[in-house]
Amino acid sequence: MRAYVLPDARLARHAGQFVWLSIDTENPENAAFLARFPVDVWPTFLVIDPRQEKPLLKWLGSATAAQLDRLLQDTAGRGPARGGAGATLARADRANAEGRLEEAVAAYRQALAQGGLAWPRRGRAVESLVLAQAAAGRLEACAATARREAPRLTRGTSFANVAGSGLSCAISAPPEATWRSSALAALEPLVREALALPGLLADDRAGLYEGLTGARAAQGDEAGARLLAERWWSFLEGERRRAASPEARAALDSARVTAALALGDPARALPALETSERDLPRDYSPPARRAYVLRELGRLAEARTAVEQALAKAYGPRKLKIYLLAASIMERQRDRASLAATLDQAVAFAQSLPAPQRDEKVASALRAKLAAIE
Amino acid sequence: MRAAIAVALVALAAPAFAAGGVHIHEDDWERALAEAKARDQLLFVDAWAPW
Repeated sequence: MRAYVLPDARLARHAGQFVWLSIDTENPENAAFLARFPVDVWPTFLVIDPRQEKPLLKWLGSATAAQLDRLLQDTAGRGPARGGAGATLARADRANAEGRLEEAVAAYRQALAQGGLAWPRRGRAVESLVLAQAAAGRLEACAATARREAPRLTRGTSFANVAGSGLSCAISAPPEATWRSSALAALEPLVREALALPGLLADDRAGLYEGLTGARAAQGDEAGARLLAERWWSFLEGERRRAASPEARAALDSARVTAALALGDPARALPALETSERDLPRDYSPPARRAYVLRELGRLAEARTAVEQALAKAYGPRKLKIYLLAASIMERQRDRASLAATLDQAVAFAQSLPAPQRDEKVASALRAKLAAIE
Repeated sequence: MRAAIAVALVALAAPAFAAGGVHIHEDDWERALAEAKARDQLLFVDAWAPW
């Protein structure tokens, strides 16, 4: 995002209208910021009112330059019609940014009703509504909004994200949910339509492939899921060949691992991970992902070496998850002494992290593993 | 005037990089906040992690 979206000319015209801040959530120096503004999706974009030190907008996940341009216009008060629907949208954004999700959902609905079908912000508002419903755990409402709203949205990024998010909500629902099957059936064609659109971010497009593969699997269509996973993989390989930099190439490594697993062939991801590891020698993610894949392949000695390389490079909250991966490899190796030593280190590292940067679920899991072997 | 001086000092001291005309402070919430207050501008934050 930082390399491709922020330099875009559409954002440059906002350069003198905002103060711009980049926060690495792994950096312990950012604990004070994260205590005020918790982040659990990457990337997350925030617009903050400095006088009240309160967020006006919180946008989860990547965004195109055009999307960010519209968001900045909205929050800077230069968007069309700041009264009526525009004002209600701003109120919804504030509630969403402060984690008052039910209030945000109600306000987004109100803004949509006020704005009507021709409202220029409708696509963005529907996108925010669906994401707020998903964040609130209201999966049925999320899928229902996407089913109802996506067909009448202009075909573009918001349409794709609404359809994709709705499908993810349906996939995440319990299989016994009575609404799930019809939601999957209604949303799948919309996501297929979205895949054909030009101008989507590569990671959004990868997410659409993942959703379609998951939808086929959720309906018991293993052959269909495999066919889609192969298309997903071909897309990812095409992006790898096209990538203009090592960072751009590595940006889809996570999707490569997920796609390779969906194909039942985790080894497919290894060449890309090895390339990323060579190109980005300071980055902990490629060896961590390689360790995960090697563990899945049962190549435990190699997985152990890779996870130790990842641990040596990791420095922030995500290091806890790498410790958890290391522990799982050592468990499979039945190396109890190394497991105990690693869990000791992991628990000490968790304690050393500032509270806003400590994932308590992962820290608890590490403590529980340590207690179990003592 | 006081605001202008504050802005100038903050701009000199803050670690930042430019991307296409956008001047970005890196990992320095306090400085960015001070600059936003001094300039009376909103803050735009990109929260990211190595991925």
